[in-house]
Amino acid sequence: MEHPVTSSRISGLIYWFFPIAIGIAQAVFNSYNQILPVTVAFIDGLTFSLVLGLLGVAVWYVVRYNDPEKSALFQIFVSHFAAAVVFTSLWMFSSGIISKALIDDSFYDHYLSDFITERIIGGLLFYTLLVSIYYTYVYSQHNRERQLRESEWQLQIRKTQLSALKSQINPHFLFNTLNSIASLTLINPEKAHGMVIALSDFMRYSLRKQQDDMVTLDVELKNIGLYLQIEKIRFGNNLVYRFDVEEECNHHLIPNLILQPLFENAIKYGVYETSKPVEIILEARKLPEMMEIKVVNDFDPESVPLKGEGVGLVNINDRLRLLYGSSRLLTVEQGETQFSITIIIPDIVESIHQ
Amino acid sequence: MNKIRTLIIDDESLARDLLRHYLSKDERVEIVGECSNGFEGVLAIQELTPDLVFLDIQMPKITGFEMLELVPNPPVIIFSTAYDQFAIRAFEANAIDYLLKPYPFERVVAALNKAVEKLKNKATSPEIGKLIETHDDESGMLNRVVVKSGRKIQVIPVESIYYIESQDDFVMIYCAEGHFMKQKTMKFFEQHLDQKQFVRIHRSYLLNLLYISEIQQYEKDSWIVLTKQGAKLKVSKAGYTNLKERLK
Repeated sequence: MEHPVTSSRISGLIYWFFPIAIGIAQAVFNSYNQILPVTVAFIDGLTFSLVLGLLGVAVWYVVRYNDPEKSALFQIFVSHFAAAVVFTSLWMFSSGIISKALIDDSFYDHYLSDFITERIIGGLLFYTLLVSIYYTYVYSQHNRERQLRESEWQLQIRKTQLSALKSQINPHFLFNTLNSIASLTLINPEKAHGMVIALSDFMRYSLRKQQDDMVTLDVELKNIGLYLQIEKIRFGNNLVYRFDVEEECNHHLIPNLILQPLFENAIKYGVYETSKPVEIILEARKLPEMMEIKVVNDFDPESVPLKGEGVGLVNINDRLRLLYGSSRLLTVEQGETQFSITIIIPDIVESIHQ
Repeated sequence: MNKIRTLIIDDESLARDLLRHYLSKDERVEIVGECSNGFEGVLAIQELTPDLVFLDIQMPKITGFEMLELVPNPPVIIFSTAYDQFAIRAFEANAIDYLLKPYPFERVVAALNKAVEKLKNKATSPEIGKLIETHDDESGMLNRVVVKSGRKIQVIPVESIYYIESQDDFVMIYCAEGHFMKQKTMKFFEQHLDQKQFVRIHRSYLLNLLYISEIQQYEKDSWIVLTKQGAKLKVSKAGYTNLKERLK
């Protein structure tokens, strides 16, 4: 978060207006009531107020390191109490040294010691006021960030929805599948029957599911199974797949349709690009506080795919980041003939989206 | 009339099954072979010299278009594909018809009628296969080039091209895999390779910036680029300006 005083020219001007106004007011008061000579009153007022303003800028960091969303209230209170004491003493001490150096007069020394209590109270009050303003600022910034994140999240959901729809009406997939069905109705009607049902179930799943829903891993894998079953009818023995899932992972919740693009990629860059058999393996295992899902596929190292990959992966990563608050949940490894993607699903979803 | 000697090229066996089923119902057709990818397709066209090819577009390793680039005198082509984003290019490629999967038997018969017409005319005025441009993503940029030397077909990623040299009516592509002739113009490559990466340094050379090792002045208004592989390429005055612009 940016420093509110230095973040813009206007906020800087507003900030400095207050200590300078206090300093001038005090100087006017002291000279009007003939407590101090005019020059001395102004040097005194401005020195104290400028130092006050400078130290006030630093108070921001005390506020930043005492975030009410992260630290305990008592701890915040103690830190601010200590900081207020340090702030006020530092202010009195350094302003005193400067103004005494500028005003070499024993009368002024007396004046300072006479009014020491008032100045201490003034310093503490300024500190308190400043901290309240800073906290208000922090709070509004937090709020704005939350709103930004919320709208980014909404956008992401739309994107996922769109890409899920796109993959169903992905013409390469849909029309080739329909062509396979047309072929099977003549050669093997029994098999055609099965393929129509698998295609219907697959499409129904993705159309019906609310995109922001969480589903259990076994439900998601059942749907991916339908997809792979269809592709397997098209590619026969060229496509081999295996799910290796630990028992306790089956009921673990994952964001719905998050694995689908991984399999689409594996098929697109693995199966579509080669005439050799390709194996796709999914492994899911439970680790402390998280589940690890790994999808590995073979690919033909000699193939040069036509289009760049990665857009689907970026979407998955964005979705995971928004949901779990970390951008390091997706890892991609490319070996000589194997491509592997690992996704970490933490047990706990970040609270703001629950 | 002789039967139409027909070849089927499609990577999906069910798609071939369906087409074979349709074609077996038309007495004009004799199926001479089936291939499941473009590599096999190139060889089969040369060996079997079919009159007609049913060709899928999206196939492993090389597309149907790329495959046609490797066939000097392609037979009559009917594309058989799942979607129509390539339709315009298919006609540029001199295909006589474009079948969208799944298609009915009647559609195949109509396409065969066109093929019969075409083959009749072809007998009187032989037509030279038109050049086909391969640019498959929306931006029209190439990311690979398919070449053939002898019986071997190679797919070259554009990053591994060192430079392209123009010969009379073809170009020579120098790359990590060797050098290959390609029936395309220099202009085509200049337009369809990323201009941030490839610079025309001379009338005869299109250079990949990745492989520059040194630029030397040779005489006034004439320079030489040394590639990392040790080749020396002439740079013209205009080429030098291009090169300086790009290397800024």
